[in-house]
Amino acid sequence: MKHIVLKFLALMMFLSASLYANAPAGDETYSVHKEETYKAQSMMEMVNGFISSTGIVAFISPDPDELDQHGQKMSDFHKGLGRIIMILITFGLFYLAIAKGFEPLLLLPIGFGGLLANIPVADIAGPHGFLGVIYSMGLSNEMFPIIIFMGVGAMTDFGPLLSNPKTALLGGAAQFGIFGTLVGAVALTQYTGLVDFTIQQASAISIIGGADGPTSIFIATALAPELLGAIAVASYSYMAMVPIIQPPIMKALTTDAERKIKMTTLRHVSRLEKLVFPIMVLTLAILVLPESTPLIGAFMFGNFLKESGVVDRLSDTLQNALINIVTILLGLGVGSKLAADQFLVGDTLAILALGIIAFSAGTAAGVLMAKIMNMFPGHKVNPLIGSAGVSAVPMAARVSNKVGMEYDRSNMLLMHAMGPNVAGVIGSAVAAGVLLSIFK
Amino acid sequence: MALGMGTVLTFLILMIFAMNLMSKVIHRFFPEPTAASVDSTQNAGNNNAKVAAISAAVQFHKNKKA
Repeated sequence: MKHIVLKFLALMMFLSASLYANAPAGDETYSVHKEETYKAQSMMEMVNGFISSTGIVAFISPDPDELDQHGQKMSDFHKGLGRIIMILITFGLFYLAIAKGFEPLLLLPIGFGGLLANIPVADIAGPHGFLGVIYSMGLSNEMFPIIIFMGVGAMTDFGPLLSNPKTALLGGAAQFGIFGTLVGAVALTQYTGLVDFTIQQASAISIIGGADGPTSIFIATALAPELLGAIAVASYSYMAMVPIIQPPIMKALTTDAERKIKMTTLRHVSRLEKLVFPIMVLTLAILVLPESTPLIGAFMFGNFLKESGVVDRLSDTLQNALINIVTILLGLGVGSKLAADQFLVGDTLAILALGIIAFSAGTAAGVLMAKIMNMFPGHKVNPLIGSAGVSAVPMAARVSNKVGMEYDRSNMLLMHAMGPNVAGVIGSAVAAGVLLSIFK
Repeated sequence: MALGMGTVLTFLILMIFAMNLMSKVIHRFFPEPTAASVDSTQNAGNNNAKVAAISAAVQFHKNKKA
């Protein structure tokens, strides 16, 4: 009996070994076969082979089996003409960044990343191309926006906000752009057939209204990574266009007298106050909305290092070297999402449209909030600083200052506008936490 | 929307109260030394000391040369 079992086992082993041996044997014959055809290639065939691998051919008659980043077949449009259109769009971004000076620090890396991502054959934005590697290194796990936030924190001075705390309300009101657009986008999806966004996509789009690039990227990667390219481009473009978008809204909503309101000079803020403030805000965030603590925590960490005054080296690195390095990587990573098959879709236009609505609504809400505050007794607030409640530090504050100066040369609003401006950063981080806690 | 705006505004209003409270506490218990007077005396003292040190060094140098 024992012998029979042993024999049976031996037979099984032999059989399985021969089966396994068969598999590589098949491969070998295949590779031999390939080698033979290679040897048999004439000069003409080699030249033909080279020509068929050039970019020109890849643009005109693309590989029919090429897959996109989700492993699905791409349409001929996205492989051929679409890529050429996208490359032209990146040239447009270069023009805006270099000639017009629109957020060049981010639009240039994003634009160039987009250019590289649309190269056929090389597949630079694919999972093994270097843009794809950068994307999975720091964007898909939301790392880069957090590091940027640390740097922004180290660059922010909360003094103006501390000396006039009630201006924080303006920064809160301006977040209306986010939530108003969210409701609008959901309503559009439900009642009209124009767009078809899920609630996650709608909230990722509406965060553009916060006018805060890193927050937009953070939320987009968390809730709707497929829309990241369009959302990031919209967000940074609109931030760059603050001086064009905001003044007409500000002027339309205020009277001449309101624009000339002079605000009382800011009191001195002690060092201890500035030092306690980041810890205090973080404590509040922990108690009220822990979902917002990744962003607020990183922001306050950077600010705490700066205000502590004993780690100038670290604070200096956050403000300069680190944020610069991460900006390069972030830009290239976002650029990898400008591949034609992801950007040239109907949704992108809707995102651009909803983005500017969100942005304008935020501006208007900030200005109106300042007018409401003026109905109560106390020091009057110039409504022009309300528009600075959308984050976009420090551009939005400069715009308030500039518009104020147009009506009264001696009215310096810059420092007053910095209060709502930095409160807007906190406000959009809180709004981001709300969106995450509800929709994730 | 109401929930979102409500949370944001509540947070910021809490922050305003906290900020006001904090600055009152700090001004009550840890008043900053009145900046102007302290600074000027300190600076003056420092300057005198520095002037003395520099002139001593210059004198020393001259003596050495001679």
